[in-house]
Amino acid sequence: MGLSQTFSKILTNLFHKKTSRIGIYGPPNAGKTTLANRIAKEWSTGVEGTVSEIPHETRRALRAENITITGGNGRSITIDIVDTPGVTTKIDYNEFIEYGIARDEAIDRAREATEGVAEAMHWLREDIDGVIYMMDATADPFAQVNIMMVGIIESRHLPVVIAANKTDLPDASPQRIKTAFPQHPVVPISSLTGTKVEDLYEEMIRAFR
Amino acid sequence: MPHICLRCKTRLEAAPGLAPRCPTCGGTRFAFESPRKAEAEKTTQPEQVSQEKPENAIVADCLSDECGPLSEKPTEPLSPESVESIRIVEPGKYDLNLLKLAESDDRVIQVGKNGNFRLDLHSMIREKKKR
Repeated sequence: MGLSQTFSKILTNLFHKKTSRIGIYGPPNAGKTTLANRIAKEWSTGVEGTVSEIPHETRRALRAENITITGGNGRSITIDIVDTPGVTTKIDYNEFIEYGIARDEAIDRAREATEGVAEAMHWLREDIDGVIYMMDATADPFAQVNIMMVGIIESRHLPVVIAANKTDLPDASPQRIKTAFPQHPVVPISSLTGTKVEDLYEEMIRAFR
Repeated sequence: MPHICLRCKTRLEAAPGLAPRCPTCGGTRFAFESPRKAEAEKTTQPEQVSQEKPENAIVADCLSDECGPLSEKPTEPLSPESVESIRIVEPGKYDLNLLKLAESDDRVIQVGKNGNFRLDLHSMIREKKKR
């Protein structure tokens, strides 16, 4: 390592300016893209992904870079946000057909979604410094994919913040998620309406700094 | 909340307890059934559909005769201990082994239900990426 690189590294550590790459993971339709769009809109420029009720709308990772989030006490983090495809253990083109998509396109979508999951798992191993794990607070938190993914994230020693999303819906129960994963910070939010999203930002600054 | 036994498909109106067992077959694995799924049909088409194709598609197409007869019967989920990282049940239907995918980029793909495997040799000899 050259002298200039060493000096640069010291300065980086001194002023906490390292850009961490934060992946938004979770099952399909948990609200990952809605949150990524909100973060990009509030702290950066532009909107990145297409939001849809159809599962696996995000089939390739979308990235917003150099986003600086500042908390209430003036502390901040600079991060790259990676919106990943919904992680699941089964992908079936019939899910798309239920939404009126033609069979051939549905099969293509299923294949792309499968590639997307494989890619997302690759990034988790090599490119991600921290994880926002999104869960739908109206769904069962003990679903196999959640248990498995939180276990994988823990095994990689990555800091994780769990977002209990969709608190705007009447049957949402963030408490169920807190009970299921007491070892991690769980922040109830609505990424759609923005309710309590500032709490998530504070928790991100704490966890990913 | 409704759950469905993965073994015998019995529908349970209430969530199984801490030591869950299906009252019909004694199965221990359940799928949660979202109450909002029925409402999903009312949703509209997306405004924009990504046309982008994966750059290095490694999930192969499979022909229906290679994958076995098409069937509506769901397959058993891939066990985390399974050797395969992806199972192609039939065109457009995939089972994924998340633990295997998280461990390495090596791809062992099972095609259909007849024990046919494809090994993506390229993924196995690819030089590991350095950060």
